[in-house]
Amino acid sequence: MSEYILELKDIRKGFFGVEVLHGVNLQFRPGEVYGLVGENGAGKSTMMNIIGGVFPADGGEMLLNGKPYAPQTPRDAKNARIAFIHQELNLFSNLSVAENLFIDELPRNKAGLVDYRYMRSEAGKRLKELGLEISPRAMVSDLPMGVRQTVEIAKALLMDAQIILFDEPTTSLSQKEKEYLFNTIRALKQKGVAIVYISHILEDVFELCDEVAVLRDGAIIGKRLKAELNNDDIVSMMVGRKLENAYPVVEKSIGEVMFTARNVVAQGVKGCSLELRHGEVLGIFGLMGAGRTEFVRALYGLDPMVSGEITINGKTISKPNPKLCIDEGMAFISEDRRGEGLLMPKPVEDNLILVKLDDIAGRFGKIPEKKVDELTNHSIGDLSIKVSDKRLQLATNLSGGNQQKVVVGKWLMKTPKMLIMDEPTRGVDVGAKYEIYSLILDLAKNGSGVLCISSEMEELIGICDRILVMANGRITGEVEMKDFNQKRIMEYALQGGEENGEEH
Amino acid sequence: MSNKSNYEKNLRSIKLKRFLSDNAILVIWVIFFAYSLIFVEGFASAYNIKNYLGNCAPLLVVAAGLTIVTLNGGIDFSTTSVISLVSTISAYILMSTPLVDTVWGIIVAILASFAIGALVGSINGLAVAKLKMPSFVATLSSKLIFSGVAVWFGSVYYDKTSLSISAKGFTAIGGKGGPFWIPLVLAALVFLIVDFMLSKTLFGRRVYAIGVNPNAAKVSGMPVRKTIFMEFLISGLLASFAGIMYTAKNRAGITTMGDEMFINIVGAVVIGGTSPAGGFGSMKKTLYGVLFLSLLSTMLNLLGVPYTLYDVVKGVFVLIAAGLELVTREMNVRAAAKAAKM
Amino acid sequence: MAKNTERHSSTAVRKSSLEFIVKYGVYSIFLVMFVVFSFSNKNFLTIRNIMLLLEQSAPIMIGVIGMAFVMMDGGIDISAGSNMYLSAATAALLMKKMTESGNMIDTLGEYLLVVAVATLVGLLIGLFNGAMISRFHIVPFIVTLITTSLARGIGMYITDVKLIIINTMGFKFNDKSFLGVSLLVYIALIMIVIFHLVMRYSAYGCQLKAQGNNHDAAAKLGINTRRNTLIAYIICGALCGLAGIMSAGEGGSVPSSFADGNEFIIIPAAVLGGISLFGGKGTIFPGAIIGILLINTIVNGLTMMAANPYVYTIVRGVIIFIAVMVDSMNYKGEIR
Repeated sequence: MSEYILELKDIRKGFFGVEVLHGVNLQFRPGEVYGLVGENGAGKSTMMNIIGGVFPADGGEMLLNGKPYAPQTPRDAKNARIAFIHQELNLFSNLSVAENLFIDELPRNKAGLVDYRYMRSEAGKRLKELGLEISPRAMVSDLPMGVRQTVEIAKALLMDAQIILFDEPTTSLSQKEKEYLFNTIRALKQKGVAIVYISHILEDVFELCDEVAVLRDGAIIGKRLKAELNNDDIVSMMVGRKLENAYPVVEKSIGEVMFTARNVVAQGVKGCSLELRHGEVLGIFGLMGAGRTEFVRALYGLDPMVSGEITINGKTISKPNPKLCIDEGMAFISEDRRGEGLLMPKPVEDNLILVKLDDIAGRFGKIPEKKVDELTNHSIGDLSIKVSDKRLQLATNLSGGNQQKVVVGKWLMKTPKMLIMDEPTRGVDVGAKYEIYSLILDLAKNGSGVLCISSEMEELIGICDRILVMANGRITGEVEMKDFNQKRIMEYALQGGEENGEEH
Repeated sequence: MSNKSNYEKNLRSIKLKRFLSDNAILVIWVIFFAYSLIFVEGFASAYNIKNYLGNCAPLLVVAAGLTIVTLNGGIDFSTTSVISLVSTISAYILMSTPLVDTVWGIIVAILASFAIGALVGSINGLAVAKLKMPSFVATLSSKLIFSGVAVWFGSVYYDKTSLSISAKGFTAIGGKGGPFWIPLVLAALVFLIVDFMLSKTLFGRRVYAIGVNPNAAKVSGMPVRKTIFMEFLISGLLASFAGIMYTAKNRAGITTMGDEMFINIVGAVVIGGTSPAGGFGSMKKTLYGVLFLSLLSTMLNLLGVPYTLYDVVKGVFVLIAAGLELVTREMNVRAAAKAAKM
Repeated sequence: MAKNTERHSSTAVRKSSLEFIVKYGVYSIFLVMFVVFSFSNKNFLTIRNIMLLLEQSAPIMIGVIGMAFVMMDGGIDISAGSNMYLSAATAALLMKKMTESGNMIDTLGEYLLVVAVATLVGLLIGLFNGAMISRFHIVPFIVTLITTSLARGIGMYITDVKLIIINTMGFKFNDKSFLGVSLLVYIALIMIVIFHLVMRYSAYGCQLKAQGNNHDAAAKLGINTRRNTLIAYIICGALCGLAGIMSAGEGGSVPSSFADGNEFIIIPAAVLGGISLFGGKGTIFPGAIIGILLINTIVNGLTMMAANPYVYTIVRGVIIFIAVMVDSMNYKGEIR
């Protein structure tokens, strides 16, 4: 019997011909907590998905307690007592808490029907262990977001997992809930469970983990034991180069105010205002659930604005909608690239020309094919999008970075006066990140205003002139470039964090 | 990685495969048609060919409307009820006392027909775009309502369930009492306009984009609801146009005229290769589908297949086509992935 | 903070009052109709008429139970009416064969055989639908629309479009009753109990409800969503087959237009009973049962008021429209 509970040997995985994991080797001992850190797109989630059986690896092998382990489905992982707590919740809002906890293996009584009594008492017991006062009968749709997360964790407890994978578990938790979670994790550790913990919040990782592995561009760059943990060391391993070189430097001048939002109230946004100037890159930072995405969606009219108004180029709009905003020169890049950015099963050309269509349409709405060809070729060249045949290759065939370039490219075609970007580099490889930053900054240099949301603080510090911080639906702080300081921004972001989870 | 000539070769083979899968049904139709001309007794006559083309014309018109709706992932069951109601009302107007056999009668009948199409189309459009009802139930209910109105109207104002029409100017629209090519020209016009709209215009681009991903279309500033409304409106109008053609062709208003037609209409669209899930397909494909399906009907007739099995055979073809459409699309994605790797 | 909570709760109140109207508005319309029918026709609110209403509703009610499973998964089965026809027609042909020697269908065994054959035919149709939808991923309304034509066409072919009279062969349900209640009502009751248990208390029902809410999440958790979908269509098909033979046994004959358009009663009944077209919501008891009773009350009432029979189709259309409109108002997904 080996000392490791799980060993990963030379694990490889590719999507659409692009390899994203280049032979990962890792070992986990029982009763220890492993931190896994790395930039977005480094391959953390892919690795977790392979261990959790969401999809199989293309190469390499895994050993579980010394025996080969090759899960093909999540069920295989479950049978091997490996629990995977996803970043997004996999709960069914139309079912009760108890039903959700047992949904993939419902206990049966002698009659072959679901044993609700056993299920409820068992669920109640496990929820109590987590320090939660939720009735097993409660419908999930009635629970606040933070509580829903703990229901997910209760599920892992229920199956007596020997390994639990956590993918960004704290994003929608309040401080109190987070402490519960950490205590739970420590208790599990005592019981001999191996825990893999993925998080962007390094402080949490340092507090919790016995060993931290850094993943970059699909390979393990380095491992550190608890004693030798050092923030700068980890960060520089994560980004792979000195921080100041990660972001392009562009000389630009900031002009007059071009956009204002006053007292915007929307779902999850409780009265936010901001001003944006020509040539300015304004960042909005906030932890998950702070309301930053909701805020900019309301500005662009994607979600209804309950009250408040926006002024762009001197024109005041109280009920914005995307069409109106685009006519005023706004552009919006959603955080959900697949769901709201691209027509995934359509060719690159169709995607690139999408928002420009209105401008080039001639009489009877005729689209000049030649113009489309020219414009898209131009765009592909300018942004160096890696595509061999723009009419044959579909958006779904592109890598994350190239997909995002297509989204950026389609808006740049309109030379927007104002650009709103929500998580502009999520799932984008490091090389493409730099290029995307350059594009943003060049746009600002030419006098456009840019509003940039990110959950990666370094990214904002790297490209913004000013950062607004949101917490719990409100703007809690503003930091000028000369005062940029991670700690201060984080303090603003944590204000009102206590209320988190009780809202929604 | 592979060298340049290899790359070109691969690309060519991918493009050829795609061309074939896009035009497969046309190829099958040509073979089928040639076979029928040579081997099926009674097929290769001028009368029969005229008849065949005459059947294609109104079907193409109504299928054109359904193509637009289907590209958006929706469906319009109410087309058949529009045909029935148009037939019932237009015949009544043509034969009503002051208007009988006058040009005014024809004008009023045609205007009323388009008004019916616009009304039904608007109701469907509002139900789907504004009330967010799934299109299949919204149009199912409007189908029940308006085919009910047609039958009720007939039960009150007709002696029987049909009413013969005498106006020569009107029946000419269906190729009766005038040159046989009139409906063909009309259908060709509709085909050209709809094909232009879908493949060359802003409206068409919107239809495809919304069919693939309505959320992305909305973020891109496309008027999603308005476009969906327009789709159903156009479908209603084209169905009423087809209703006029069918009524003229039959030289009678029939209260249940559209009742058994839906499998032909949806069959033409789906067999042509337009995806019932939306986003993929074209007017050209629907043309192939119409040619194929009408030929199939003619053949089933000539070969003496019992009429009860007509719809069974057609249904099997539709399901095969719908399955194949998904398979070829999957293949195209893989081929494109391969092209990306090269 | 307090101010915000207040605003939230006031929108919540407004939302729930709208929901209240949306939910119970439909019921109150039916209540009004019920009262109007009762007053305008003294025959409406009699035990005899109510019993008749129940007996007439029984076969369709079984179809609604089946439809509830498909709709719980977020699917639809338009072929319900044609399924009833083909199942009844096949069973009728079987009876014809059995009785050609002059022997009547009168033993329990013979009855069970006939019913089993009809149910089996329905089950096979459901299997076909389910396989096409769950394996080949073709949209449900297209698959079942085509099955509608297939089943009707095959039925017409095997019966040669002839009316088959079955009550002269001994197979009838309308003369069988116990304690003054028709046998059909008992069969419906048994089915309600069984399938209510399946839907509400079986592991399968719970998983079906879950995947109807979120197919992707269910698949990720390792729930066999394809199998569950397949089973839902099989249940629906089998129950439609059973409904078909019951309806034939009640009516006494199987014409080629048998059960034509019954899907337009079954689907709105399910929707009115609170089973959402968007999946994951609803109950068999009381939901689906109330739905079918409401619809048949209207049809029954209209018959009593001697309305023009052609108006029925229109009324049916209006009922579906309103029911689905209300269902859609509660749904916050994308347009399709």
